[in-house]
Amino acid sequence: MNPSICGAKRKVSLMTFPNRFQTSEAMTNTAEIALLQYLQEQRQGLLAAANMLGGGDGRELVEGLFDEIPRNGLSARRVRLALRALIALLSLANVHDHDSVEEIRLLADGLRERLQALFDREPTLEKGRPAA
Amino acid sequence: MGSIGRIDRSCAGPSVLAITRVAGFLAEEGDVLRDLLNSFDRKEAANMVHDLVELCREETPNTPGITIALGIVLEALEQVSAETIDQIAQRGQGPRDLDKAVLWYGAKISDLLQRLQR
Repeated sequence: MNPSICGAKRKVSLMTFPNRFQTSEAMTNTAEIALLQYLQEQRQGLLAAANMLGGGDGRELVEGLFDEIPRNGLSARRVRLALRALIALLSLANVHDHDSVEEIRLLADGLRERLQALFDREPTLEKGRPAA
Repeated sequence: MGSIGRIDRSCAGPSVLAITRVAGFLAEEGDVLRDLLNSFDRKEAANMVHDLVELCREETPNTPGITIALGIVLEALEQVSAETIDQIAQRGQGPRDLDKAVLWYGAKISDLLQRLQR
């Protein structure tokens, strides 16, 4: 098992739930902050998991994300597409090491949950994509 | 003749050419491939086909992203079992020659992936 993936299951969501006094912009920011925090906290785990499942391309996908996000933000189409590709990659998780599978699934769930929260606040980010 | 036909590809790198092939494949087959994946209830992979079209349209294509997304679509096709194909065929759903369609798209995507990874 790759030790750098460890820790995902112990992480507690830092997302602060929006309340009725928050504007939609503030709520978008809350979702963005939650996603950014998660990406930062799980950076090594995401790199290791993507490398395990997607090899060099998986690793480059995550490294590219960490290059792109500071430059273009989470709303950029290429960032959004890369995040979705990463979630899909992590969702494969059919490797034979069952401990790693569980940890990778937790990473995928954590990322999916936070990205979905952002899309729920800012539906235009998902414009044009067919419903699942 | 429009400017598209006169694009000089002589200096394009191998990944750019490979991405052009992926984009061409998706332009011709993307809709059918999505329908095929949806008929197997592989919705995430079907959505990936849509995302792939967008990924290929980027001015600076994200080659790892395209490779991963294409790999996910291939994985979904590889996971389709003969039993699933039989069940769908018996229900009269999905396109004719479903098994051949899976093999053809699988082979085509494998070829595109190999070109991307060269």
